[in-house]
Amino acid sequence: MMIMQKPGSNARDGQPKAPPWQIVPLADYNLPSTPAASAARARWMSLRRLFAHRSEPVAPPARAEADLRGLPEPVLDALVAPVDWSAGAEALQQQRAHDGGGDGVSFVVGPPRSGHDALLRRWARACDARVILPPEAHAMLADGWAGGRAWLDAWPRDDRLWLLPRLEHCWLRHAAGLALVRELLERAQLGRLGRGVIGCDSWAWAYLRRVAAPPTQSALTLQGCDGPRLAALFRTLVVLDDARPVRFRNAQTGKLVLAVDGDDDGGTELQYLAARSRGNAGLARALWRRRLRAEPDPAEDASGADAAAAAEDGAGITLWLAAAPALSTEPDEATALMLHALLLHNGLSGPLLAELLPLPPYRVQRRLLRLAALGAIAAGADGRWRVHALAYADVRDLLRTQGLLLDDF
Amino acid sequence: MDQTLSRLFSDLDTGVLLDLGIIVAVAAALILSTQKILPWLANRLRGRRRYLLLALVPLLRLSIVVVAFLLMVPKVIEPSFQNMVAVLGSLGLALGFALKDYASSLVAGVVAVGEAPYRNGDWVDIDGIYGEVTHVGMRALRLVTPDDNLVTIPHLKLWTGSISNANNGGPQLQCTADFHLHPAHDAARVRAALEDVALTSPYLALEQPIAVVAQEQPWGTRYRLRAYPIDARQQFRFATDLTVRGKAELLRLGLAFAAASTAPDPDPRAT
Repeated sequence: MMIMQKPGSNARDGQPKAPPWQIVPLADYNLPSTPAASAARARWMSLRRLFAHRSEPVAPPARAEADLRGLPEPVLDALVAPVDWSAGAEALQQQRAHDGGGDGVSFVVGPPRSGHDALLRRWARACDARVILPPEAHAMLADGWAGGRAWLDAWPRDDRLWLLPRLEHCWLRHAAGLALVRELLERAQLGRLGRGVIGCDSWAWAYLRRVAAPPTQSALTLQGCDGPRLAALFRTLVVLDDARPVRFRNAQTGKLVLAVDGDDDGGTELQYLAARSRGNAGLARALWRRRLRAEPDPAEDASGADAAAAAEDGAGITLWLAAAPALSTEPDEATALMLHALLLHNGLSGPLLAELLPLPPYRVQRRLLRLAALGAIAAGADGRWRVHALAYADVRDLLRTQGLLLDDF
Repeated sequence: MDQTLSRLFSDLDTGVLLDLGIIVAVAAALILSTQKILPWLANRLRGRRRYLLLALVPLLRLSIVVVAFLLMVPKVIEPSFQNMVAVLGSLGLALGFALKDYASSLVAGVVAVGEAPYRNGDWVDIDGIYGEVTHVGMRALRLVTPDDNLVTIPHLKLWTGSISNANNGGPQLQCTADFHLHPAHDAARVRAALEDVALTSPYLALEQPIAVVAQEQPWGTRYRLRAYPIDARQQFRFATDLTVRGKAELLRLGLAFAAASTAPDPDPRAT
């Protein structure tokens, strides 16, 4: 049996086409709560990690991970498809209209990898808004902030809607790197930039709240995903060209986590995932996708396209959720400062990171490579190093223990 | 005389000696354990929890010593009021004459635990010696200076000397970076630039205040940039970062530094 993506579809028949995305004021963001048992277990594991370098599972797993196998990308794409943000974009447009922000500038803040950037770009396409790219990083520092001022002065003067999707790329944590964003925020709030939307990463927002004057009251965000919302989301992401029901089971406990043809809310497993992801749908999706495993298939063909065929369980297809990956990095100060800078700027190139931190470039480069080998960061196509989605929760915990500024999500 | 002494002290048979040995051994083991485990655990934490754990070490040790002493005394001395007064009085006299300073340091050590003028993890200045307190013992404290020298200072200093504590049991500690500029410049611009220098330091505790203090001198203008690092242990890296990046920013703004000070520096704490 081949598992293939259904063309032109992003949902099963009879299922909702998209989860109920909700755009809310920043202050109304709800952080999903951790189930009590999971919280206690997490604390216990954290304590064990403090006294030992590794922890062993306390009970034999229902399905040993070594006996399962990873899935090829095409199959993963059919089981965890990209999120369709059209409903989210519509919700944003409605919220803007409700807030009377159609004539001014709206701010949309989202945590890293949450997908708010894709949502905003989807909104821009729907509203025929012009997408404004941030200035070059080095231009912001060269010759005072002349490069940044030139970028700002070239702002379109017509009445067309615009989108600045990444405010976090319009500043640098450098003595000369704040003037542009302060001027930009002032002009935006005085109505001198016309009508548009500014997107900002939550880490940059947390910092800018302390060094500039963003409008903290009127900023919007995508409401956090709790367990039931994640269950609804994951169901919509299954786009198999196969009528048989798909079931996701925990490989450790053997318990059913989610039945795609069911209507349950995912139980404590998804609630824990929502809490671990801090309501961040993008992170939850990345973790979910990374954990998927299938039964081994000795008859697998060379292409691997039939990868989940052997995962059949009765009349359905059973997929296993392996343990969540854990990051093991040394919590030293230099590493924490680097990871923090990467989060504050939503990615930086190696040379720019070395310019912003009081560390010699060779040490920065060496640590970047080490962190990349550990899976904590990854370089994007734009040359920026970013914290990896799978490591984000651990990195955030690390930064919290170091007393560094955290985002509000 | 022999009879008086025999009434004073209990019979030190094998059983009593064994009890005393066990009490001493257990107390020593507990003290050593707390002195090893708590600092080890504290150094894996940050913020107030770290300083709280470090401060617990001398308190626990004092408690263990007192309990051990209270358990041992009745085993050695016949527990009556007269006997106690006689033995402790003699002991006090002996200590007062022969080991006056030692005894005074011990008493000051007890006071130091109670008053807490310094705790483990604090950055203190005692008689011009500045460093981080790494151990508060019964008789003395040990601190490590920025030059990585280990200095032992008896608690006796508590009675007569002044003790300057920079962070007083908390993680926050104010740092200062000095800049000396030629007098002909736009001071408001310098103040704003120096504030941004502090705001953009990765070591900055953002919730703490930042201050720029300017003072006119015969040779120019002195600026003192005051801010707090996230952790007291970062103070020298933080002050260096402020200095290096402040200097670069002032140069970038085209400001000239004062060539040399022609007057002795007044009391640096005056500003």
